Amino acid sequence: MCSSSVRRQKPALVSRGARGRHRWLAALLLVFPLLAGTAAAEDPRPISFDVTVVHVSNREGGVQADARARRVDRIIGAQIKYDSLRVLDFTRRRVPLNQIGSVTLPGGKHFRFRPMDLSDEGVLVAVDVERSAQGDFRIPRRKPFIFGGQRYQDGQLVILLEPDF
Amino acid sequence: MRVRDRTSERLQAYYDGELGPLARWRFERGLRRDPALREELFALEETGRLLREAEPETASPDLWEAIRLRLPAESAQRAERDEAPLAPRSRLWTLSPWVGVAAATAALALAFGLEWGDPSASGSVRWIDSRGKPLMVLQDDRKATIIWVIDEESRDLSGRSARVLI
Repeated sequence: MCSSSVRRQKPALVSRGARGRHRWLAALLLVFPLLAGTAAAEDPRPISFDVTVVHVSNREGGVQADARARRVDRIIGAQIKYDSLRVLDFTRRRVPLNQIGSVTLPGGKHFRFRPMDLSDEGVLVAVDVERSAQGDFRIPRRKPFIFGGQRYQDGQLVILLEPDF
Repeated sequence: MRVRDRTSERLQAYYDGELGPLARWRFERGLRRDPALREELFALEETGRLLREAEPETASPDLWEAIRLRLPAESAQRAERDEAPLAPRSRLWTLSPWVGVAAATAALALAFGLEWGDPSASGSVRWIDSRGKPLMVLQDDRKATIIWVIDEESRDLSGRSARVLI
């Protein structure tokens, strides 16, 4: 009788609190990875994109006297021949993963981009230039991604997309 | 069977203009690759045309563009928002040829103990479609990626040097 009451008391005194703590711990261990996984899957941190829209043409005029224009000239000048270059628009968009960033180009068409995945190699971006081309590109941080060729006035548009994260 | 049902649902949503811009874009890419799906879409349109008993429209040179322009923007955006959480995974799997090549290269590198290079040295282009227009990837290295779509109207300006002329 005595021994049985001791046997009943012992677990009650020693392990009831411990069991409760263990339950909480187990629940936390189960829930934490789920929460962490959800947070990683739906990373709300926006990625910053600099979008520069440039007009190049064969009309005399040279490179616009502007730091941004000169930088674009340094990047594309070796690959593309033109006589004039001027920056038409510069905008910074902060776009979370899986959201769409959009810039209206001169002429009314849209340049849309959607960051889809972020890794050490860069951000995977789906890009759509209305009625021109579309594609998926893995763009490293601050590396200029340049898309050109759309006819505009007497030349062509060049769009620079540079992610920063 | 479920995949087929889902494809049919997508097709109907696409036809009704209920897909978001990127879902639509993805679907159009599938359309280009799947003649059976194109036939289904054609059949849908044909049925709709007969039902409406409308005047026959002039054949469009670019069917997809014509469809895209008719899609209502608001419902498209809503559908895009609804679809967003599933998108990255499915999009990545659609890159299958590149993923396959990358996986094979990685497997070979691991098998033969090759040193893995700087990941930033690889190019940026994963997939691109210029809707039938001539396209050049002028540069795709760690400094920049330059893609040029040649507009039909500006072709007469080209041909003076190795560089792209505009």
